[in-house]
Amino acid sequence: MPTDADANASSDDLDWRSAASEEEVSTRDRLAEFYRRSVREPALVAWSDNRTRAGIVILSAYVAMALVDVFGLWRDASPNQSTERLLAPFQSLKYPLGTTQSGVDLLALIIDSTPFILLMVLAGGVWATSLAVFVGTISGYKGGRVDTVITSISDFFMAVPGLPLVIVLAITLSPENPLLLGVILTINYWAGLGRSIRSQVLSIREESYVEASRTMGTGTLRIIRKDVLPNIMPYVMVNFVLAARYTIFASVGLYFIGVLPYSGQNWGVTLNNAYSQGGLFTMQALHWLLVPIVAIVGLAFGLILLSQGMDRIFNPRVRTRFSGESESVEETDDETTTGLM
Amino acid sequence: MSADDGSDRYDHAVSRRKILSVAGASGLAALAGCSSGGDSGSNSTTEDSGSPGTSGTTGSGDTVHEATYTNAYTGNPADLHFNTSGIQNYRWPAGRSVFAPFMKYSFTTNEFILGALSDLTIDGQEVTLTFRDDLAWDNGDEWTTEDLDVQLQLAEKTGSSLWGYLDDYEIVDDKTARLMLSGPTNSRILKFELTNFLVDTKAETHEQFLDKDASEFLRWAWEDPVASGMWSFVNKDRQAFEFERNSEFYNADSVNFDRFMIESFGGNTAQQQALMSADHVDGSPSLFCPPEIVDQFPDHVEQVNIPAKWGYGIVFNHNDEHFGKRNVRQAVAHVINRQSLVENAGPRSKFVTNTPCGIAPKDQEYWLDDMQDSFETYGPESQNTEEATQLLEDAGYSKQGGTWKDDSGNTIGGDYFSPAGWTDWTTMTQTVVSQLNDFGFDFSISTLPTNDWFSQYSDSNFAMGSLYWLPGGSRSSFPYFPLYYQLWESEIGGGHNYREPAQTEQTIPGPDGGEMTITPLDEVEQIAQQPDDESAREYVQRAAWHNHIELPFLGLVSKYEQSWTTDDEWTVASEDNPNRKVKWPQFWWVHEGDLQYNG
Repeated sequence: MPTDADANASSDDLDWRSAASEEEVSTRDRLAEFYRRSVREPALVAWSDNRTRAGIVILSAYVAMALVDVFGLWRDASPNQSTERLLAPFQSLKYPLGTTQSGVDLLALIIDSTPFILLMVLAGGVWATSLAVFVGTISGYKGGRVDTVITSISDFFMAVPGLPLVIVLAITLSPENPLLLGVILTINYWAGLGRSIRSQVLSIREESYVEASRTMGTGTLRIIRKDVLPNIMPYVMVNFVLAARYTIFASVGLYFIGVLPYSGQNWGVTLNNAYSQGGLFTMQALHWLLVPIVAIVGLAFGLILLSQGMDRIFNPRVRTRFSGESESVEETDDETTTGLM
Repeated sequence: MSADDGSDRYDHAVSRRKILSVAGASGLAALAGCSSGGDSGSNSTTEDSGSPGTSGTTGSGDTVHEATYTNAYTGNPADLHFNTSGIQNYRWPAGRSVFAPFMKYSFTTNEFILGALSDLTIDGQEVTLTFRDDLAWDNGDEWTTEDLDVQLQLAEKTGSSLWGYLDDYEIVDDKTARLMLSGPTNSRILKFELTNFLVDTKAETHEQFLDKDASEFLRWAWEDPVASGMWSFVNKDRQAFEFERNSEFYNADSVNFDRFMIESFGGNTAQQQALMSADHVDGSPSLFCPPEIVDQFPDHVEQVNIPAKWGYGIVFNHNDEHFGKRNVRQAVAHVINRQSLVENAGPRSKFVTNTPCGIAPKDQEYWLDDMQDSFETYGPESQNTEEATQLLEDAGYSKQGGTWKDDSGNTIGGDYFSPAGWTDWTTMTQTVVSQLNDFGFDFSISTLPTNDWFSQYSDSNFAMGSLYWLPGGSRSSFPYFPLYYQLWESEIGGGHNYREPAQTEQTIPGPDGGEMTITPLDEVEQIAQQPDDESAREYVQRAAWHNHIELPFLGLVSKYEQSWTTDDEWTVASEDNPNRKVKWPQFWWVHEGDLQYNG
């Protein structure tokens, strides 16, 4: 039986900011909660949507191709590996996607390039979005002189024409590392995104809960991390995917026009070769052009589908409805819109 | 001025001399041009020539048709000029349109054909040049040896290779001049030298440079040329050069149409596309086309294959820590399967070198004779990886994790440069690099705009990369020119750093198993000084032996130049016509009356 003294002691130790005492939640429970909140629920929300599911499946296929290359489960692409030149796809089990004019296995070409492309895409996406988030939130939340300086810098980067800058950098630096290349390709992508994030932060900082945090003396970084970031995450994640997609197109374009050095024939180089060797004009070489196009479009399409899934995952209403904690009525936005139109 | 045949061997017509920069040239510009494709320009040959209206008659009473022959070409005419000695922005097709050649070489008959010259006599150390009486400029002025006098003085000032054989010259009369040779010289060398000369210097416009620095003359952009050839210059802009019939031309009777255009296209692909319809363009002086593309061409597109005596090879930087070593260069030669390059890039128009020895492939048998079997072939149709492994191990390299490394752990490789837009070269580059990297080298491919590609070599900013291994044109038939080219490499200003070793006495393994001492440049110069092939053969063999051991360059592939013309509205030279295989049909055939309008 607890005594009064015990009760007083407990009362004194109790942190007024906590909703429950520490003894009630074990580490295991916290991990379980974290798993439920951060992994299982998002995954289920994502999986419940057909488009997201398709996006995940597509991207998984690319990751699988990358693993096939990393573990050497398919031959490396090399000229003259097939005696049959310009073999059409689906004619031979040995060369399922056919071969090029130089007798290169097209499937091997695509697989060989996948790890490089994925790393580059990841680097481009992470660089562009993280820098944009950093700049946008600091600029939007702090305001004043900090905002003026950051805004001026990002104005400058927005004014610099992106493609010529990237071409000059690509020629000057000759990047062969996929991570560096990803960063170079999105070198000024962050500026526009940062500006959009800034405008969102400007409205969030006026919210009452942010003001409450400020009143309590909470530090700037903590407010940004706890109050601001979660609100802009859906937007950030969607833009992460868009930046990744931009990286693919930019790299393919630069490889196509031949300003980037390469050691293996990646998708852009393959496209260029196919174009140069008459892929546009002759049926024999058409597959040579189509295979890298399908690879590029497939990855971009997978990323777009995933970005829509991201929106659902971060959308509080969808998640709440999914976990059954809300009894909100079904949205009728679509019908309304249709009716209006 | 000395019109050097070396640069016209490729559709992109790189200036023979150092091209260090061309305003506005870039891969992007090329791409932009590509996208415009064959639709660019509004002047259609069909439209112009559709009605065989006449604008006059030739001197012999033949009709001159209002017709235009349109060439597809790569290069922005607005940036180009007509100073054939200019170190930048001179291109051969435009020059050949307006200037008459001294003489040409026929690959059909293996003979020289006279152009502006009416007679050429080589008697011991005296060479007598007699020009046609009717040679004139298009402004009505008569051509005289006063013009030649200025031309030869400027040739000396700018260091033309002709002056390597000359002591002096004298003007005999208005149409005759005599060259005094500095020593015994093979007459074929002189003739090949003269095939590079055009009637492109007019005393009135050029004598101002006699008192100025050579560099000033070399930088001069001649924008408004006085013509001595078939065509008079009318206009140029970003799209095209426009020429009209020159009625003062000595063979004007052979030219029965009134306009000639050289249109700018973005690259090989755009030109190929234009030839697939072949309704707007009538020809392309030099354009590589893979078989699949050729199959798409309509029947009225005629292919003329001329031995280019030029082709894809590798240049080494002899100051590089790895490629300065003979063993490494020989290993590279062993690893590359040359036949696979041919199969990948153009089995119909390309062929391998039997042995990379600095002599054009089809001429090796003649010159090497019985000695040919002693030469190392480096496996023209195989990858000799065992030999290459032995060579690298002997040189102190070891293979770690699939890559060759030196004592300090450095890999052997670097950026391998290749010119952007040269589609067949790109294919060969990819094959070479793939073969080398599979063996354990460490190369990345870097494709650069043509001028940047050249600059990398002239600045010695490379380890090893693609560069043509024969100087090109008819002169490459004579071993002196390619052997000299590989040792001295004037086009990249000796950027391969072999000039010093070329002048140094070297000891190399000899053909009989012993050793051989040779000063390569002296040996090659001896070839030029022999009066005939028989006496030159010994020197050719020794120089070629040195070349294939030392490998200043690595010759991989040679080719037939693919030139294209149409026969629906134009005549073509028959297969047995001596003019058939003279570079290039669009110019020499017009000169001779073999390309006429008959629409």
